[in-house]
Amino acid sequence: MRPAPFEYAVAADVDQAIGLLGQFGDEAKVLAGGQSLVPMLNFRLVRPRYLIDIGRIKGLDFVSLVDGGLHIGALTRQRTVERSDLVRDVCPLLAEAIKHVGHQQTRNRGTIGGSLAHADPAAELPAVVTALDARLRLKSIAGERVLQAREFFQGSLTTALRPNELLVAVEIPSWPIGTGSAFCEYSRRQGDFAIVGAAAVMQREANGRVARLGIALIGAGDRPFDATSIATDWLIGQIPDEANCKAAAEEIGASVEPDSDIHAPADYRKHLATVLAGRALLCAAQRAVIPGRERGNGH
Amino acid sequence: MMGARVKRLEDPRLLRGQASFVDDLRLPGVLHAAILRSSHAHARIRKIDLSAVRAAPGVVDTFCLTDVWQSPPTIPVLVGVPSLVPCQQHPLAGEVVRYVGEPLAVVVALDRALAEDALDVAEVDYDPLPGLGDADQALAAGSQLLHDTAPGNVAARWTQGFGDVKAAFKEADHVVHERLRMQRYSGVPLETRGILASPDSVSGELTIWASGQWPHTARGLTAAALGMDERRVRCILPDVGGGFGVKCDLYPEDILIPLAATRLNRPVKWIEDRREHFLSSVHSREMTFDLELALKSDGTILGMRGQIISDQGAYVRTLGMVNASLAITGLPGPYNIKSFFAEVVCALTNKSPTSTYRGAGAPEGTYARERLLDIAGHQIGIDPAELRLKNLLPPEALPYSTRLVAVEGPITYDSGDFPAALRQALKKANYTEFRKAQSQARSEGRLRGVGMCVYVQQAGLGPFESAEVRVDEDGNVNVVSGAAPQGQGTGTVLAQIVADQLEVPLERVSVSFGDTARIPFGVGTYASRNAVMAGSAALGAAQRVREKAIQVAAHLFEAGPGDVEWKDGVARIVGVPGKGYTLAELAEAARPGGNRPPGMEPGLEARYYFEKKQSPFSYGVHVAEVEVERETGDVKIRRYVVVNDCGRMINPMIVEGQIAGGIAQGAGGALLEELVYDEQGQLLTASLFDYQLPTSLDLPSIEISHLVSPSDLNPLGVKGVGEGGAIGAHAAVTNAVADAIAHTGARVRQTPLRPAVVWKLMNERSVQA
Amino acid sequence: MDIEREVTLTVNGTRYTRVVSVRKLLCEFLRDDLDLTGTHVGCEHGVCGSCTILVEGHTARSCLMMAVQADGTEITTIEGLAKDGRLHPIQEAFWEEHGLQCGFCTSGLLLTVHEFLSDRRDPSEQNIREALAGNICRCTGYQNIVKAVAKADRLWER
Repeated sequence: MRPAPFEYAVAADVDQAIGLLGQFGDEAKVLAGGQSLVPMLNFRLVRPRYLIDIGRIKGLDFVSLVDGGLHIGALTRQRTVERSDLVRDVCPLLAEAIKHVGHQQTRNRGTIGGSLAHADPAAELPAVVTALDARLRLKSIAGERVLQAREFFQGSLTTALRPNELLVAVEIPSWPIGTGSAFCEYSRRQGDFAIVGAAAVMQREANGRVARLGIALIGAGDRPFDATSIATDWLIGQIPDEANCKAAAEEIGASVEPDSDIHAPADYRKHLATVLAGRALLCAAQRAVIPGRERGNGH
Repeated sequence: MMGARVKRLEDPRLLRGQASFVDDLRLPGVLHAAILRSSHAHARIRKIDLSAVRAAPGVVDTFCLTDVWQSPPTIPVLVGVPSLVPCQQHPLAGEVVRYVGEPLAVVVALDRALAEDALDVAEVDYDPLPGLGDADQALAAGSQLLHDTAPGNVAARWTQGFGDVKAAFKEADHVVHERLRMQRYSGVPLETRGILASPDSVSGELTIWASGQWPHTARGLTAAALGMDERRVRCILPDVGGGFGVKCDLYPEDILIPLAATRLNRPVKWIEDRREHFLSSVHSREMTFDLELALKSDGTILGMRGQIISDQGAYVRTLGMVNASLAITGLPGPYNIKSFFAEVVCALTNKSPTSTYRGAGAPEGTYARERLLDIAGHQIGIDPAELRLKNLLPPEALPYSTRLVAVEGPITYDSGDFPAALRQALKKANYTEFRKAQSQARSEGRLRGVGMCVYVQQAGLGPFESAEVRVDEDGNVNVVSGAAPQGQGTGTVLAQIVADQLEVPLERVSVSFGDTARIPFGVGTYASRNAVMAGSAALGAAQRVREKAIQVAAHLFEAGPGDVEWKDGVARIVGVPGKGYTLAELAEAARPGGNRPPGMEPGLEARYYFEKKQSPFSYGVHVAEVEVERETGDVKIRRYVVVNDCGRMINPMIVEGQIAGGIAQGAGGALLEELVYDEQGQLLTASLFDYQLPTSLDLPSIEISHLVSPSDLNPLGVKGVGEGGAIGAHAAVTNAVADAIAHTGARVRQTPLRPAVVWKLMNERSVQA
Repeated sequence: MDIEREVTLTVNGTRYTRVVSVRKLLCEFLRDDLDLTGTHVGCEHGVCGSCTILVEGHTARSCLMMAVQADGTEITTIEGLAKDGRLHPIQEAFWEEHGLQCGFCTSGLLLTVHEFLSDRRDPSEQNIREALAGNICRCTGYQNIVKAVAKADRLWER
């Protein structure tokens, strides 16, 4: 299995990358870590005429604290995020989820941006950034634009990226210190894509009630299923407990419309969606630090 | 040396990355082949247009069937049955293709990437025909015929039996009936197939290196297919990265690549990619069993009867009937079943041809029987262990002839103690305590289960194997064997046997395999035969070398051979310490023109063929403990106990490695692995993303203990072991899962038991009568 | 836009400069251009782990890298594990514990083990099994590989 012929260019910097995309974008693929793209090239599932290697670009590999939130450059290796103290402290959901992404060997090369731009419905990171209400920064010769995660993921392997656009960063907004989070995935073997997964964040107030939350599901449709509004209806302003987390999860399970495939039929995915959403919500609730009390998973 | 856990001689070069698998071999001027494969499951080929292929960059040659042959060769069936009709494969499809992946044409180019580019521009005109996606469909009246020679899409059908089964079922207190299914899966070695064929301009021979399992047989079959003299073809086995039976066939490529090399008079290499491997390397195991047991109230089995439908795929190749034969004759197993009758129907379907994979019918038959025993126990209220102990053949009944004859010979269990093995395994597994723990866990919402399997395995298939032992003048011992191992450590085992016989350090012995030029006759490595056949051949050759050494020494001492003793690799006069002759000295004396006894053939060497038709049977008991997660259907194997009896063990470390490896494959079959076709006959599981192999997290540490019932059938007293793990584990793990969820009323009748399947079974609440 | 490029990289301490097709995979380059055939190719889609090498000291699947991406990097393959002809303690441990059968997965596995043990001591069986989960072995059932890693932990002074 060898790739079909293509022509190749290395972009030395972002300007050169977007210049090349401006010129060749319609027939080009962007090569970052290659962990998602190269298998597709080898199977000849994609046959780009041009391959633009952005792996040498400096300045897109960063994890920064900005206004209490986390900005991560698109070329940041998954391994870097896995080992980052900053991520662990500021965004424990991401720190927890990243361990489920592939294997060490693929995290050593794979990038955050690469996984997001690839948008596999069974991938972990798209759901995580959706739950966190993150934004994605895109750049082209026409300028920059910033999209919310839920606008960015448009279908299986489909994002809002235009052919001439480069994803340069993901910007996770500030979730206050003490926000609880949980990442619950079921896959048959460690390192597999999820069959179904749930990523949840929950901030609770001093009275224990839910002030803010986010939850998104993996493997429950052709893109991350943003279940935030469903969970919000059940939980915002409430004291989260087994009963209301379960009720929210049941409505989530009833709402998702997954497809069947050889790994799992649709009814099983719906069932798992309920189970995992419930676990994630409850666990995030339990981990959330209620101001004035001890507990939590972040600090 | 014998019975010692010595480190393997093979390992240092493998550890250093200095092995030579076929793709590691380098020949100057080598060209690379790719195969154009059918994208339709069943179609008439109206036209194959290779003109664009010929013109593609870097392409040196391309051909389809009609470019080469007026009367194309057929791939022969080596193991057939009387009822088998002709449904054989040509090396390339002619007028009809019958499975997705079937070869249509060959392209040879300067490199593989260019060859694949050329495949993209081939044009094939298909006239699709209705496809047969499964055996039931194939056998249904009025279905599309795959082969004109096979009415009803039946490749073969036959029955086997003994005793009065009708009477048994009449007088039974209970009749237990179930339909069980084992899925299509296969060996999936980590190294795919590969062939390097090179015409030798000096000798005029065609040399073929192939990642295979039977170079001597391959040579004969390939030469015949190409119309060449067998002596002009040399087959060499390089390092092989796993075989498991799936590299033991005459594949189309085994003919096509050597043909390409002779057409061009240049070396041609073809390395199967992983996708091709899933499409076109042999599939296996797919069978349904419609089985009944007749029992007395106390659990005594009076009879067994049923029907097996074996999905053969689109063609029957060399070993195509083995699985069906070993499945039907394997049904009664180690049990005292007084009457038996079964029919096996081999159905042709539009899928890749099926053939042997580790166990080759034994895992299938064993699974069906062991599952049925558990179902019976559950139905009539007898503990599954008790039911087995009640019916297992006692040791005094052996040697025991089942009165069944498989394609490879009569099924006679030579030695063993099945009840003792089961008792020992149950004790090791804390079976009685487990039942208590299981109920406790259930009340806490944790679903634990235990499953067992008692199996027998034909282990040491004849008809012969070859060995040559030669001592050189440095006193080094060189062994050539007709075996063809793919990782089993046979080199170490044979070295142990020979070193033991000649009483020299293991490091003095080197072993080479699988080269038709080094030894004229050989059979190869499959069917768990190495220890028995290759081992006994090596023993025989080494014994003859030792005798010869003593005779040469006697001659040098001017004494009689009876006055000479052999100890630690040195020949001395009995009772006279001091002057002795070493192997090196004796080898020198034995050379042509050297000082050897008159009339003795020169050379301190011997070639020996161990010939034996009857094979020993090894056996084992596997007990698996699982935990099923209620909410996801996830299954974890928590504990795995084995009591294994493969007779005398030459290297217990290697034996245990084989057991553990086989268990991983059997557990993979029970829980994970499946080759899935859609309704159009497209293979949905053509990558390692979709075909799930077990990882390090899918198994616990296996606890292995041994019984030793030596075999009288060979001078070593050994029995084979390679396939046993795969035979026992599929059944044991399936039974364990069934046990874990039995209280939900789940009927476990098919595998793999993937999470969604287990979840559905628990929630369906269908209650067994 | 190129169809060929020159790459310079260091493999097992030796520097190489070659012109390569841009669509050549790194595993092909190592095996065919540099004759380092110890790295094996089992799937060409990054699942089996047989092709695992170290790139800048970290494991990577060489079937998921284009050769051109390795320009300017330092790579270690299995051939670089033994020093001065002597087996690395990890290799010794695998030999002692019968941690290999056909050897096809072994090269990639040993480098994965190297990375795993480099920054930890005394791993549990569970830790070891988790670390190995990205490397498929079809022969051993992992049983003795786990034992070999535990032994390597004890043998390797680091």
